[in-house]
Amino acid sequence: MRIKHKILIVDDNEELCQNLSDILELKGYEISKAYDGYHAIENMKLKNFSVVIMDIKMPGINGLDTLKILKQINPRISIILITAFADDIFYKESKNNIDLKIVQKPIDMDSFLFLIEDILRQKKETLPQSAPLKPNGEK
Amino acid sequence: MIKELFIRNLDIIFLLYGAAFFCMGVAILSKRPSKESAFKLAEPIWLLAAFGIIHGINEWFELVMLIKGYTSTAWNISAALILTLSYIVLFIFGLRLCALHTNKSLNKLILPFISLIVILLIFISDQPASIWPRYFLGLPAGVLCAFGFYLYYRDNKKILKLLKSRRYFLTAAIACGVYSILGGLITPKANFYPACIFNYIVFFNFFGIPVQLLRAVCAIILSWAVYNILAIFTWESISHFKSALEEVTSAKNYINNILKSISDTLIVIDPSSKIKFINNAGCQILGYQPEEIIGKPATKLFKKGTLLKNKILRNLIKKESLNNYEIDCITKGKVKVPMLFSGSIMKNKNGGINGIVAIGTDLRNLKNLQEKLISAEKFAVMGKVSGIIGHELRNQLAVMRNAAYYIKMKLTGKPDTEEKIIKNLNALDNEIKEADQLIDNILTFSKTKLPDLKPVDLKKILLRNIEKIVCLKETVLTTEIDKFIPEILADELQISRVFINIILNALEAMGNVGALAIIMKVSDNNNYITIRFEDSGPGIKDGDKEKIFEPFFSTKEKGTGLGLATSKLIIEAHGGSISAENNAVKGAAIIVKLPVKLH
Repeated sequence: MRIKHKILIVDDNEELCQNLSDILELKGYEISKAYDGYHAIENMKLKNFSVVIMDIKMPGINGLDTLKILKQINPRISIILITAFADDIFYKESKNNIDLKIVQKPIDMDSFLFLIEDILRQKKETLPQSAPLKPNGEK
Repeated sequence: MIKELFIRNLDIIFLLYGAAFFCMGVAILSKRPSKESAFKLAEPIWLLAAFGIIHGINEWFELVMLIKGYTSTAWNISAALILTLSYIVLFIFGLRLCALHTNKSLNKLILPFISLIVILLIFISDQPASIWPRYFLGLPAGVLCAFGFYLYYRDNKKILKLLKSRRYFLTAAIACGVYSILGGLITPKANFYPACIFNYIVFFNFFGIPVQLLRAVCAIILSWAVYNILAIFTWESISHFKSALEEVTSAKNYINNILKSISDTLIVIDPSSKIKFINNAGCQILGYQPEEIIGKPATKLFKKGTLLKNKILRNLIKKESLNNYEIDCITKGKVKVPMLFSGSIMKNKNGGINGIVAIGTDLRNLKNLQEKLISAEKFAVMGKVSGIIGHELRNQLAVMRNAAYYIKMKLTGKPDTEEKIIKNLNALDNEIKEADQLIDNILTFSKTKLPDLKPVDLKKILLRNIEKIVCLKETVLTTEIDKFIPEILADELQISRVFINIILNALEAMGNVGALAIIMKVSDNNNYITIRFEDSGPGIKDGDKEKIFEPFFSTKEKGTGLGLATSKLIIEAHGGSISAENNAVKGAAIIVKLPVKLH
């Protein structure tokens, strides 16, 4: 009985959204797409996503600001930021934080898929412990 | 008894008498007070000299007559004529002296008229000849002179008092006054009034001394007074000289001050192209003491042949001046200093070349600023452009890579999939990865910011970075570092990147097999730290020595050609230099030079 995990992809590059979702759908995830921060927030209110894959640089609200709002809506959401630039600071922050990962474009898909699975597995393990809500990165 | 003594020695009295006046005349003439003197006395005083000399001669003439016993009328008339002449001169002097006070000159006809009458009387009258000039010329002339000296003193009281000449003027006035009576009123005996009463014989009988003796005493006193009066001219010329000297000195100081306070280099070169003058600023910039460089050939200040090249001197001579010419100077410590020169030819009166005056501005600060500005701008533009390109390209590459991945996913495991399709998809993926790597390098290169300068220990930085590098067993890495390496201002992260870039490059160049020696030492008079990276690889082709530091130049099969370019950018931003050469035996060397002190 496999649960279909819901994943939201947010990127202003529609083609990237499209082929990323094609790949992930093929891997059996349920995908929603948003092309900017506002739509991402709308989507977030409608569905219970496990993971959000989001670009940092976007028109309107950027990825980092959107991220804060998404966290308010669903504190348990895990977010993977994808970016053409990756500054050292982001990397450091994302290293031991299950809720926030940073991946550089162009994406190395093998490790990316593995990363998603890893996040979902950790979520599953921590799921029974209803409180505290903050997930624990250690196995 | 005494009377007899006087009578017998009358010749000596005449001698002294004549000598006193003669000496006065000579003294005045030898002093030759300038006509431009502020003392107006200077103008007529030559007349007093003339009187002195003529009258002195007159006395000696009478002396000769006395000794030789010449008593003929001709001799007497001659003596009287000389006497007349002397008194005319004294008369004129007296008139002119008084005129200095009254500013009015007497009717010019009076004196010639009197003189004429006197001369006529000398020839016509049967009275002793000398009576006439004495009465009509000697007496008034003496009185005029007495008044003249007194009035002159009164008019110039302040300054003469200051010069302590008061008593001399008064003495001269009194001497003249007494002399006018003794010389003008006491005459040879004649049979008319007043000569019948006031004459030599009566005088001699009454006073017991001959009138000539008293005249001689008067003459000596007058001479002494005049001689001392002349001191005012000496004082004047000394004070003139002093003030002139002061003027010259202050003008010299003024010019010296101007030259000293010019902050640019000022050089004067003589026609034999030797340095004739150099100001303080010039000495400071060029590192010489003035005495070390003055008199030396001007070419010493420049690189050999600089002045001949570009025909600088020829142009300068042709056009007489040359503006804003950039020339590199060489300091005493053999450091090149870019200078902006303007020069012009100094000509002498005849139009010949007297030398060259050149003013040079030190361009180092300007150049540094310019370079900093240019590199800052370069950094900014590069950062912006490559940032945009990098971001855009990465997004597109991301789509491509995902697409390839998707297709591959779809096809994998299907029995009828051709192996070639998968191969091609893999090739696509690999190329995208390569392209991404290139973007990465460009971003590193362009994101190189201006260095964040802090005091650092280069020795520690080097050793720390060497530790990070994993060497194969076949590689021998040695270091040779000076005991004392001063701290310099540098950006540690950037310098680390340079060291790693160069070391990795060297290791790659020799295929990770061979020896890499790193030598760090203080060089260039303690002004620089030089780090040499010597590998034992194949070396660099002659034509490539400059090119290897250009962006995107690579001799490696897989290299973006940005490692050394980034290094160059960083080192130059630190005010240093990077260069390459081949070792004497084998392999190449990269030489990094960093300044100990930033300019």
